[in-house]
Amino acid sequence: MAKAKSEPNMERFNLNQRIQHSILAVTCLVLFATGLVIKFPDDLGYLAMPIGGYSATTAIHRFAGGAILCLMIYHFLYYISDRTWWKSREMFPRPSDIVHPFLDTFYIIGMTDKAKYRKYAYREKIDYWGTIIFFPILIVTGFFMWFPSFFVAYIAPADYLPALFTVHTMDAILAGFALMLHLYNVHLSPSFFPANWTMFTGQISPERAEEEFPMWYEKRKEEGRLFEHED
Amino acid sequence: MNQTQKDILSLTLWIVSLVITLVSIYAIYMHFGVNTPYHDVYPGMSSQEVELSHGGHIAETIAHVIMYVLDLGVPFFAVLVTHHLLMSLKSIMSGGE
Repeated sequence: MAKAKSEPNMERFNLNQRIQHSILAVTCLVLFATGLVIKFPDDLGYLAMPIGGYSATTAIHRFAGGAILCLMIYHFLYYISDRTWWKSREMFPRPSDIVHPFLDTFYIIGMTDKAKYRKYAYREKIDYWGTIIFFPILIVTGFFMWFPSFFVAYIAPADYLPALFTVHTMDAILAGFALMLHLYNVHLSPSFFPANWTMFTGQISPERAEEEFPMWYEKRKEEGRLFEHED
Repeated sequence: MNQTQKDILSLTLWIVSLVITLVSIYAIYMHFGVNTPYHDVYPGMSSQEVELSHGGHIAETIAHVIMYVLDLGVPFFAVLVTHHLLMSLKSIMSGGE
């Protein structure tokens, strides 16, 4: 069905969510790029030269770490004070998130129809909860590596620091895998290639919403809130 | 809570978060003088060369256990990637439906 020119788009993400996502996206890319140079200076040290050398790379890594710490504090404070978010429970795991991957697998081999998602499919929930669980580990271990004297003075003896290095590095590499998966999922898959702008504009066409997130679309249609502002 | 109230709350919390971040980092900087690189804690040693105490060994063991648990994420991602690719293939074969 061709979309009428005058038909408005639906709001999928509000401005607050888009700002948070943009900060997260930029800081993640900076942290991965600089973190790899810091971790492997012998192999990737030359990448640090254009931006001022190893010290500058470390400073940028720490600045981006500070930004993501600020974002984490904000995200935590905002969502414990936002009743609408708790009431909607859209991002919370549901039993259907276990069932949907299997339904999609059956869909691939032609046995069933595609799973009907709510506002967020299991893919988005994996991305979100992965970030919520693993980023605090990165932030805390990174903070202690930034201030080892503070760690030694208040938390544990200095020979616990190598353990922090191990956890920080492995967690970061895992987060790198997750980022690549996320980039494929939202931008490079054939449905969206070359880019999906929904997270940056906040807008999605009703046709696309009906196709990708039919249960969310139907819910908003029934509530008569199809083109209303997203909470 | 209407939209204006939410916007005010959001802006306030951004300011609060920024203040918490800057104050905590600044306070630690001030307390310890300057940022202490790892090599100042163990001069001339890399993290692999440090002689660990009993507690340090336990921490390192726990860190490696966490590391192995995190490694399980790799096959998990492999399954997810395969799944996404197959979904894409199905989408292409069904004409983008």
